[in-house]
Amino acid sequence: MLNYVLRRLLIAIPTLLLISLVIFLLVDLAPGSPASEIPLTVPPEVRAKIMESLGVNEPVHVRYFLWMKQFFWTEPLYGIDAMFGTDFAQGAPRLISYSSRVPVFQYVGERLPQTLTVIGTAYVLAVLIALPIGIYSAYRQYSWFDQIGTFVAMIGFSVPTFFTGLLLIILFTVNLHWFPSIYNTSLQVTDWASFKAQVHQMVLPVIVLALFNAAEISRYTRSSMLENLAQDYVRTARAKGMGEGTVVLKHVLRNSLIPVVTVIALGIPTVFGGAIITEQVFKINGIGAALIGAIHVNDLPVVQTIAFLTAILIVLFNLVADVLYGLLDPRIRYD
Amino acid sequence: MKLRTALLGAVALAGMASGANAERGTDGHVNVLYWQAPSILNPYLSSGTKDVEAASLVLEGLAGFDEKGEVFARLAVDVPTVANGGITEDLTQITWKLKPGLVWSDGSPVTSADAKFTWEYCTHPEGGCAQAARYEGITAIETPDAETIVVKFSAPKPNPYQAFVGGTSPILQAAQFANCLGAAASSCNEQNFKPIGTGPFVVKDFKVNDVVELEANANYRDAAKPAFATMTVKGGGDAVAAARAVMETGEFDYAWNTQINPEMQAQMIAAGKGVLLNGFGTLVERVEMNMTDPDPALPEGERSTTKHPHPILSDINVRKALSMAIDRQTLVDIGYGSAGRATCNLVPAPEMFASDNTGCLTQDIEGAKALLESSGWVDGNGDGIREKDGKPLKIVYQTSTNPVRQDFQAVIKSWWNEIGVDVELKNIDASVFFGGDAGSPDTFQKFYADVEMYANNFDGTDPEPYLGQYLCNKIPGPENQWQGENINRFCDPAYDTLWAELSKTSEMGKRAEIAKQLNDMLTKDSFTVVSLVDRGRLSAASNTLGGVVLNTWDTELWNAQDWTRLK
Amino acid sequence: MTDTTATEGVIEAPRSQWRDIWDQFRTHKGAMLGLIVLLSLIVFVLVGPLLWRAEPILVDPDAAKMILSRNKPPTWAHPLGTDQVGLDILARMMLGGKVSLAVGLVAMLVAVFLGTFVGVLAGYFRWLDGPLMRLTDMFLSLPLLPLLLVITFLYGPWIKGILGVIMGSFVLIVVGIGLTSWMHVARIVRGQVLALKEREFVLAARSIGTPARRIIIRHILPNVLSPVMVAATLGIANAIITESVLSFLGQGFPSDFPTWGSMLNKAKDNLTYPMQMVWPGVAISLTVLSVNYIGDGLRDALDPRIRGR
Repeated sequence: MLNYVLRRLLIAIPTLLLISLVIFLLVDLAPGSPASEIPLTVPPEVRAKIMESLGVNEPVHVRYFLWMKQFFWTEPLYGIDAMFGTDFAQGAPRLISYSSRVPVFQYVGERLPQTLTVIGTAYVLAVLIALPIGIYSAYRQYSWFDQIGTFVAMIGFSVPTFFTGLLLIILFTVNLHWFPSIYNTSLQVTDWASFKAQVHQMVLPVIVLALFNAAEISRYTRSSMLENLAQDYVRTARAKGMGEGTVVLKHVLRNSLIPVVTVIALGIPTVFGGAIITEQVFKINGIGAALIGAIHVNDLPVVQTIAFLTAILIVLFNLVADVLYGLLDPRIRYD
Repeated sequence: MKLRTALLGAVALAGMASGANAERGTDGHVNVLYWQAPSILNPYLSSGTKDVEAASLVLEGLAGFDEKGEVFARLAVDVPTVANGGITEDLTQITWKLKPGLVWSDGSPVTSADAKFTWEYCTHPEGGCAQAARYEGITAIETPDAETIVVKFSAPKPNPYQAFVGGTSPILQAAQFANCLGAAASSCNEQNFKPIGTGPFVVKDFKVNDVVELEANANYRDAAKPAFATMTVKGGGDAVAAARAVMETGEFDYAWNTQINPEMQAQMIAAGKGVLLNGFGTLVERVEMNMTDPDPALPEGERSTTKHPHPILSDINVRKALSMAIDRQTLVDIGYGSAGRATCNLVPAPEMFASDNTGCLTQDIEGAKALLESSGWVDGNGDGIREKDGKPLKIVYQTSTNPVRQDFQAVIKSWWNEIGVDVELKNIDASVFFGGDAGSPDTFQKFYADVEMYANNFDGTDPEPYLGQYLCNKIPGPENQWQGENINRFCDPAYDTLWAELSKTSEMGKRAEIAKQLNDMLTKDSFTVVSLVDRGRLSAASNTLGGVVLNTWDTELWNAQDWTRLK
Repeated sequence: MTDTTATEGVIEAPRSQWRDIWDQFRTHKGAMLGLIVLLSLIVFVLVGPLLWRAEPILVDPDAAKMILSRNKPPTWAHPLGTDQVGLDILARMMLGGKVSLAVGLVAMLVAVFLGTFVGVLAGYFRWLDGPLMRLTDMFLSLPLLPLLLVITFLYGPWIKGILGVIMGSFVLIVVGIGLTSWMHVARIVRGQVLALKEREFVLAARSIGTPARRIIIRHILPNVLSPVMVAATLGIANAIITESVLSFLGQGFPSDFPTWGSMLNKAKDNLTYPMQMVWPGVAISLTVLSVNYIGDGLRDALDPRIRGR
């Protein structure tokens, strides 16, 4: 097993390096320039000075290696320093955002909690909704429950989240005033009232994201259950006189969950992509909003870093999925 | 109190408000929404309005501009003038006196050394200071004593209220920023995000591009102010959401720059929770005519340069006809409503500098047709497009990508089609259009189109540098990496001479007269700049917020110390 | 069982495989409904403009008339009302739908072509398998939506400069979506090809010296068609959504040129008139929904295990 995990890890490294190069070049070589954010009232000489102070004028390869060094060496050092109060970094230049001059990692760190709270809740909720629906739909295939479930799931992943989001906003915020229209990121949950306020402001985005994800997961659960229900071992178990509950929930479910677990693990990074839209619609200042904002002002270090962090997440969860697969299904790990 | 949500806070606090003549901090919490979130609180490292304005709650200059555009003293005892002896007769020196007993929010005294340091900070060659222009022409700053600041200029400066005046050039605390000079400026996070200032508020917490939490400055010079104990400046979303949060849902007390279309304005006002404030500054949306030939067939380096005059637009009658065909009031109604007004001027304000040029305000399609007809532009082949000497009236009309601008483009195109001009529309992403990248063909400076539309304004109240952009030697071209500001490639020796006179004149009435003449030369005399809309500022304030005065000459939060909670 | 005995009695013309598939497909109610809806939408966007001749792009030059005709509720003259600058929404829906559907279709074709190409090469030629599959893995690991946003935002102006605004946006979006969604097709095709390669008919063809190119075109491609078709329908749905997301975030087509996504984007700033937002939103949802149902039906119909039942 260890061998298997190690092998997967080793493959991940060159992939990540290649991705870093692709992302860096793609963003860096594009036309457009951070200078466009400087108002027209600023004279050209000052403009040129500002650009120079950002280090924009170095050649591409120099900036790539500097970025890599900062990403993999300087920033982790600062991370260690912050955690243990050491001073390994010794003031080495950090990865700095063009537009706000803040270290990119600090910026991402400030944004991450919002995204994780909203997306995390939505995803957990989606899984909790999707599994029972998927299981029951498969068990009672072609029943009215299954038909409705299928229809709702189809709608769930056919109607784009920005449309559902806007509809909910018009209905519940603009017309009914039930929910706040601006997400308050400085709210800290310390007591019952603040917890209620937090739930209150999360309801709409969580519903939108959960509906979308639940649709997909329930479909996978259903088809995986269907496949296993038709297997011989199910017939055998029933023939032995086992209770229907034991057969379905113990034998079939356990076997069906293998692919579902993979789908859930692989779905996490894509949810980050979907969150870009949800954050935009519901004005949550999370990672997605930071990315869009940075793209708009040509804040290349932020764009590159967020894109690359997402790539790392994807590779990581791929790895997790592989390992889970290996754990759940012994046949895989000796492959 | 800080645990309360913005939502609950606004509602709960409305109840416990205590009226206008409050002591410091008795009015609780105030919520301000900047939909473009502040990214840094040091105006010297960012020229974005949002950053400058948020910072102005903390950092102050010696003086500021009030809502009429007049200079008033902040940290200074009074505003120096030639009359009171603060400015020397030859206009090369201005002397400021600090108010006695001023302290920073950390309790240490404010001295003239801080001002001198600020000048050094911004003029450091490696600092990339965004406000360097405000310190231009200063040769030395002397500090004879702790309360006196003497600024010396290399040449007579008719408008000396630039350095240390307004939200864009506040005074930094020398002690705090001592290690942030030059290249180190941008890595001073603590300083840039939590500057120590003299303003009514102090930064408690700052989240980049998201939210600034502030509390009242315990050492503020007026013991009764500010009335609010804490303030949140929240960022994010868009103008519509911001307006809604104040006007419809009441979650926020004040929203900055809520530029929304007229229908939305009416709807929001009907909700009755707040008011839309509007004020006019110097921002003018205009169509600029290219006086040089942008023909793609010309070799690179000669396109849109003074080597080739424009084949069509060099004819003033064509430019005039294009201007006559536009109904400016309709544009205002579509795009800006009460936040805009039709104008023919390049310099629409301040009052004394605005020319009484209103000839363009009535649309005259028939007149435009007749003018083209009489100057030889006729539709010979019946395709609906006029031509002369084999040159058809075909123009490319570019602007940046932005919904209002695209609506304007569509409407103006149909008017120009009406008078027999073929128009090709082009919109370019703002990051490229305003990016100034000499390698890109689509920047507004390169102007590889016949006409282009954008908005521009000038800092403060003095239009001299702004009008100076249209001098012959400011024409962008390959030899200066396309960095000139004379976008139209307008060149008139008479204009240059008149501008030189302006820069030597110090008497205000005379200056205004010359500025008006210059404005007219560019607009109604030559139609080089076809002004469309004087774009105002539109902000939203809750009915429960008192003391708000919209100021378009300085930061909108200029009088936050006077804000109160109304019952 | 009864079916087989019945057909044994009567001598029937041999049934083609496609006929069987169609028969199975027809039994899937959702898929049939989806097909009908999709076909009606296609008729709406293709034939509609011939019958409904309101102007979708050019604004009325008469300012007074234009002002009066803005943001109108549905009337006989404008069955879906008018928008912010007085343009007929029905006409814009037709033009916008044409673009959205075209983007979906072409982007899917790009993705399927790329995916099949990579998949066949990887499956058929052993020495290409490793590198190509690593490439596929790498693409799967890229954060696609952020990258697509970056590509359209940063490179959009450049490509539009070369190809013109509309064509440039179209090519950019189609190629962008195609380049970021071929990987699943490639994996499916590779798996199929690996299995097919060992089948007798391929071995036979190879043993008589048929060149690789011909084996692939004649023997392998027709046999990977059915899984690719299912992937293709889902690809259309995906591409339509992606285009609308890009346009919604303001990175797709220019705002005066309608697509369903960009209409939605424009309408979201004008929520005083929510119906302007509902029409394109419903159209996108309906299209994707019907395409998804068709994909579902196709999967059932093309699966011989189910078809037999």
